[in-house]
Amino acid sequence: MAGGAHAPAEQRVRLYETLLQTTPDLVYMWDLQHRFTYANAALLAMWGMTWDEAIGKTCLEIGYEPWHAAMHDREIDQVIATRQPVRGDVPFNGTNGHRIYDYLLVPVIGPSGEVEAVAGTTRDVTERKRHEEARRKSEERLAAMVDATSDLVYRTNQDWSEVDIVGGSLLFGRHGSLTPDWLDVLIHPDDRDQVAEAITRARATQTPFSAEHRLRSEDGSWAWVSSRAVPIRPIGGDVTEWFGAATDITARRQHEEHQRLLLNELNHRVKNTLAIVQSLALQTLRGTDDMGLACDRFEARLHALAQAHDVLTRQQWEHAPLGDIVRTAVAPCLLADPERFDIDGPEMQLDPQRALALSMALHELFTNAMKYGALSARPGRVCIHWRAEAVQGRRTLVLSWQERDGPPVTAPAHRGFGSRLIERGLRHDLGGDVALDFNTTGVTCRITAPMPDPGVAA
Amino acid sequence: MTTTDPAPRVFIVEDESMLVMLLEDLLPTLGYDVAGSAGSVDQALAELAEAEIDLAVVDVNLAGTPSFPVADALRERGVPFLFTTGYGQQGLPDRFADAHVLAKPFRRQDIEVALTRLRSPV
Repeated sequence: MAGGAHAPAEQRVRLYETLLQTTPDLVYMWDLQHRFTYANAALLAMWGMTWDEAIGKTCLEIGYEPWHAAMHDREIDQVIATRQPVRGDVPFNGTNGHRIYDYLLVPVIGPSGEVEAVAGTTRDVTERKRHEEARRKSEERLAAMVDATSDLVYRTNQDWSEVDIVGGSLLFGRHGSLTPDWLDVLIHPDDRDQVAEAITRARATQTPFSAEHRLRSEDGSWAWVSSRAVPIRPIGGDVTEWFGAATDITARRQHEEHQRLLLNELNHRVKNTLAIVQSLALQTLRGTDDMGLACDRFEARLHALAQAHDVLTRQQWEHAPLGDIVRTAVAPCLLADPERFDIDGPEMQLDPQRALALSMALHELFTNAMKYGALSARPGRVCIHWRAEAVQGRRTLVLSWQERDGPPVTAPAHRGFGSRLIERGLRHDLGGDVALDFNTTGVTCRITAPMPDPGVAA
Repeated sequence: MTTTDPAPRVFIVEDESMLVMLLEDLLPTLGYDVAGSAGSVDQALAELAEAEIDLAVVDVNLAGTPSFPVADALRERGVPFLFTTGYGQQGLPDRFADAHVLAKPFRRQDIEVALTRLRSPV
């Protein structure tokens, strides 16, 4: 060191004094009676006092609130007694307004080894505390949001080799890290390539990841999720991690699948019905000379088909009550002249195919009866009776159509489409037996049809 | 086909009697005999065991049940067949990816062309 024997000590005092008087931190010293023996410029300015006004006074005498002064009294005693530092933070209203201070009190050890004073430094940490508080609130809100959401919230490292479920949905039963083979274990085999590609693309372009895929849930079932993750990138740097959320869209997917199946089924039925209409048209028009008559017949058959559909639609296309099928087929005459019909039988349910076939057959019988048979002249009547019988242990429908008191019947020279539709159609569609007889006393038709097991009789 | 050849015999698998009748009317006018018909898988399998047939027309959906067991049996016997369906090709399992499919409703010339193709495998 340069200078005389005293120079370094004096120089050091000047150095310390300069540092103490210019630091923005508060620097002070108490004697063993808790009286200030030193206060630097920053502290005096904060108090708004001069050296002479402040030195020699205790905290209470300076004007600290009693609780605050008492707290420091305790701390000073503690430092003296334990020879250990004390640290704390405390709000204070000084000339700078309401601030928060972080303070450190340390013992000053004298030459004899006794504590001779207590020194302190205090720093204004208001800004830091505010930031910390803001950050704590923000983190709390984020955590609450993650807990509140029904989405699965996840984070991944830069290359997606590590994935943590950080909150939200308990699709996997718990939160935590996934095993490194998560892609092979948790993603549906059919969706793996698509997910892997989406990850590669997102990483290459550093843009959000987005995919809809199936995920194995805790109970082993596949759940559909819509997953989206955004890259976290420090300013000017590369992506360090990704944060994402996966929404369970299983219900939506199931609904879409159901819609697709319904549409498919509808398409099938419409095409089938169009083919039936085609068959009706071709067979009604074929070999006919009377175009007007053929058109009337075609319309009537189309109408019968439509009415059978109505009966089925009322029961969601699951089944149709036999009584409704019968009454609908003969409705035009039944409504006007109910006494010309004797309709009787237990309530039974027919599946759609049987219902349609029987509707069309009854329509042909009815049309013939109106034109040539018992319903063409009074007092002709029609009895339609049916019952369920056990034939060779199988529940069987036996339905009879019997015309009475009508004009004498002559059997047609050749059987037309109507007869064919009744005999051939019912035999095929009901898998049973049909006996159509043009008796002189009246047309009879006896239909025997085994019912599917388990019996559909109501 | 020459006049000396017997008409090829076609078996119909179709649950809807109206469509059976349509085919029964249509096929003879195209030079085919109808060898029989069935409306269910069980009935079709039972009748196929006995019938002597050259070709088959098979509805994909028999009252809600797929007719694929019938198609398998036909394949096993080496009987060429075509599917009729309201669904289109996508409803078929992979093993029938190259099967002939006729969409309902079909025109007279559609089934004529389809049956001709069936008889002259490319």
